Amino acid sequence: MKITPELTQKIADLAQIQLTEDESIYYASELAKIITSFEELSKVNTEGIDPLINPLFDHKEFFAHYQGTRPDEVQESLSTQQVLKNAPSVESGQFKINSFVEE
Amino acid sequence: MSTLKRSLLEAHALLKEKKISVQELTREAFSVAKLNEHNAYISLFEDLALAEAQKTDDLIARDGVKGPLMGIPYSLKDIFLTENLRTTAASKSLLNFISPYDGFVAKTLKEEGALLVGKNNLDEFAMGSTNENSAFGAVLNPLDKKTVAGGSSGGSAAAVAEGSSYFSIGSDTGGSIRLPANFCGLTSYKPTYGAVSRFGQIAFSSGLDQASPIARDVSDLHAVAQALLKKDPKDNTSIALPGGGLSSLEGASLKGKKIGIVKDYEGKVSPVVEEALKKAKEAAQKGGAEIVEVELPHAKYAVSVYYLMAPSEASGNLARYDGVHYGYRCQDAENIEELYKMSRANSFGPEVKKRIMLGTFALSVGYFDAFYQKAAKVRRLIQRDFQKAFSSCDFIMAPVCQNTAFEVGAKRETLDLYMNDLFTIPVNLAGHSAIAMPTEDFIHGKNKKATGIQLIASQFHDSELFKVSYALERELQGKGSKV
Repeated sequence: MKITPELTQKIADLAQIQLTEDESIYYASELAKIITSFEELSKVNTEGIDPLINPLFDHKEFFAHYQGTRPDEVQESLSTQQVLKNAPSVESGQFKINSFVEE
Repeated sequence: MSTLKRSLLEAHALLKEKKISVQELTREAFSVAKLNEHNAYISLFEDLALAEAQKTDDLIARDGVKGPLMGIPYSLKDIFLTENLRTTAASKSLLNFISPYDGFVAKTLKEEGALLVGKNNLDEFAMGSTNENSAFGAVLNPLDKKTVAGGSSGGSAAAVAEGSSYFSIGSDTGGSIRLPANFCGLTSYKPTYGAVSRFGQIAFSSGLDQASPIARDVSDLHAVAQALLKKDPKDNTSIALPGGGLSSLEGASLKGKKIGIVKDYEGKVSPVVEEALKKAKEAAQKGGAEIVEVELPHAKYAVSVYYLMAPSEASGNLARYDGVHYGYRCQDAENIEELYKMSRANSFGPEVKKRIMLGTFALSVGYFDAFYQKAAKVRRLIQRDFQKAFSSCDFIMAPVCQNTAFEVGAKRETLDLYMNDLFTIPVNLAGHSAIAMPTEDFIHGKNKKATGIQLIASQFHDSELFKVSYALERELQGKGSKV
């Protein structure tokens, strides 16, 4: 499959990753090689086959929510201070970013 | 190269007999860890561990040694959250991240009284098979420093092999514990998906990730696994294995067990790996197992299925690293979108970016059906292949990797690297359990480079897997399989 630097740039935009022009050329060629190899899957007959997303999902006996909801009990959670501890910037108990709104 | 002086269970016996103290064990571990010969650690916690060791010695003096992990120095792959200690995932994006809580693995091992030496190096966000994709540099193989330790749990393997920790908890998403164990001559266990809680494990691919221990031998692994195999209400996909966990290794035998050899894997490995597999097969037969041929006709598509599905989940899981809430923030952004894009661009390594983009592509409108959905259907066919194979055998014996450990820093094509996972990935896709162990020629010193095999059991049969692996290990070591 042809993966152009323009398509790569579009994918990177969706993934919120900034790419330089050189990078979009590099990743285009890397992605093309990998995605081309995936084309072998088109040869496999999967008519009438259900997708398997998670190896446990066929075993519903393990999942409480299939047997009803869990008790509605309040449990301990992290404090605001703990949650904000790793934030790059904090003000008044909130995550802070630069002001980007033009006046 | 330095080697472990003794196994975990031998250290445990010495503690019980009061022939060694926890503080002595801990100092020994740090004397090796601090040499930093193999770049196995991202963080070391010497002061904390020594203080804990003293407390543990006091506890032992008062009440005796509680369980096999009490007072045993160990290490954790740096994707397991540890309260008030740094967890980086070997990424610049989490360089200074201090978790406010312990995840399931750290909490459980703390309760067992094990002592955390440090956090092990890995491929960034567990993405890689050489442990060269780390913001902290490559991990070197203690058997031969010119070769890689394997990935992504390379630091875990190097730590145990160099003798600075008695066991480590790594993770296995597509082979990430089995490959490094294989390259470093160690034993590792990838549990049935769901058997160890993922709570507090930094997510790569939630439908495949599984915390997985690595240690010197099957008995040591068994002691570690017993502590970790329990249902955790904090992970929705956490399960209790039938019977509640593992039974004792006593009475383990190969006699009458049917072991399947995968016809489709024939001729796909290097001569030295082929020889290792042949000898393991012979050892199993010597112990009384019957070898049968099985087929996994769709396993050859596993690499494609995995590199579509795992990156798809990764693209969602890694969306949280936005530069706003925690982790790296780029200071030069002029608007909020730039803040996201530049923070992510400046902090993720190339392999992580590649996989996020692959996943974003596979999930995007116009490509979803042809790629992601198609892969999920072929995954079902691989699962069915296993079901059919397990109807004619009890366990499957397979290679771990096509080759032995390769050179550090050599230029490699992405697709060649991905093919390293050919024999490990199918197990994760189907959610089965596996134990990888070194083979005869390596154990007896004929090969300098480690070779090994894996035994695979079907979903939920982890207890039986341990027993047959223990019997095979004894046979490979020349001790006879009867226990």
